[in-house]
Amino acid sequence: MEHDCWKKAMQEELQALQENHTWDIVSCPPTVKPIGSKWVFSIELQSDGSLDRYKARPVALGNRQEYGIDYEETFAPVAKMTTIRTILAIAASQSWPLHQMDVNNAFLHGDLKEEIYMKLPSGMLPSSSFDVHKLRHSLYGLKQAPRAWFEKFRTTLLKFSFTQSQYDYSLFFHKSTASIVLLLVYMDDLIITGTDHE
Amino acid sequence: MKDLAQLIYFLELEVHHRSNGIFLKQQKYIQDLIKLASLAETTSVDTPIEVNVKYRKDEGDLLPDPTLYQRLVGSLIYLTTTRPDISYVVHQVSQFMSSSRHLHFAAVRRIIRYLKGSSTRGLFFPKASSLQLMACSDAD
Repeated sequence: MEHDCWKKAMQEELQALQENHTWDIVSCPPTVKPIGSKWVFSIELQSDGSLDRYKARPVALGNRQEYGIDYEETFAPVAKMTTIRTILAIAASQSWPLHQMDVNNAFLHGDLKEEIYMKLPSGMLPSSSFDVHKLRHSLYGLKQAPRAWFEKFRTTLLKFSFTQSQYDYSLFFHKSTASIVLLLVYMDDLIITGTDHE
Repeated sequence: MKDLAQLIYFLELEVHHRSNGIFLKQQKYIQDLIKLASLAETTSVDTPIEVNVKYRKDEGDLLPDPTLYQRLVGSLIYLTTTRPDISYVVHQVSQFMSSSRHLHFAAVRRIIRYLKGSSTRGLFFPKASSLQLMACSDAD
């Protein structure tokens, strides 16, 4: 019975990844050695300790990636604690509403600059042994996953005419004549405040 | 994206909205730290450090495995986010991450027993506070 739960979790995850168009299935170019991957299984609990769901995620074996070939830069900023406190202080003194948000599957949204070919563990997908998954989007486990996600987030906000703070790269703000919106990001967690009540 | 909600819990920080301002604390984080240090059954103390002690790099025996020490001190460093009152003592014990001795570990336990008696404390940002900079200080 347990087996069926995990199978279902794997199928759901694969479907979500396919809907996200995370990869194309291609035949492996002869000069490329695809990186491996593994399934990571976890049981998620609700806050009261009861079962929430069975979760299965394929992760790329980032530890096998080679610098200069499979990845370049990996740094991604996170919010400074000082900025968090400052934003709370401002929100308190100005009586601004404070909101939080989290991004589902943040790392899957990142775009990849590098060409990465990955082999899925056999058994789940009906594919020939010469087929590999050419990644279109970032995936858990890749060295560049956090950076690719942050860059996606940053460029998206800039398109919405937000400005990135030069004092804390995780802080973005949007000013108009009468209003301001502050947005602070810590990977997939966001704090949002400002004069706008929407 | 999902659920835009009022900010109540962010990176282990508990955010409480009150009529006169915002209160920030890490009470749950402190309770987890007490469990991690196996100090749930001990009494609390009123101060985080003994008076006039100076910790040395080479006094006493080395811990057989410094991992727990390093985890505890790492957590204490994160706790200074809402607890500036332990900044000094945490700085003292953080100097011995690579050659942790029993005396240093005793100092860490004392900090955690101090937190045990003060876990509801945190930072309060009053609504009535102006954003005017009043004073600024640097270490020297």
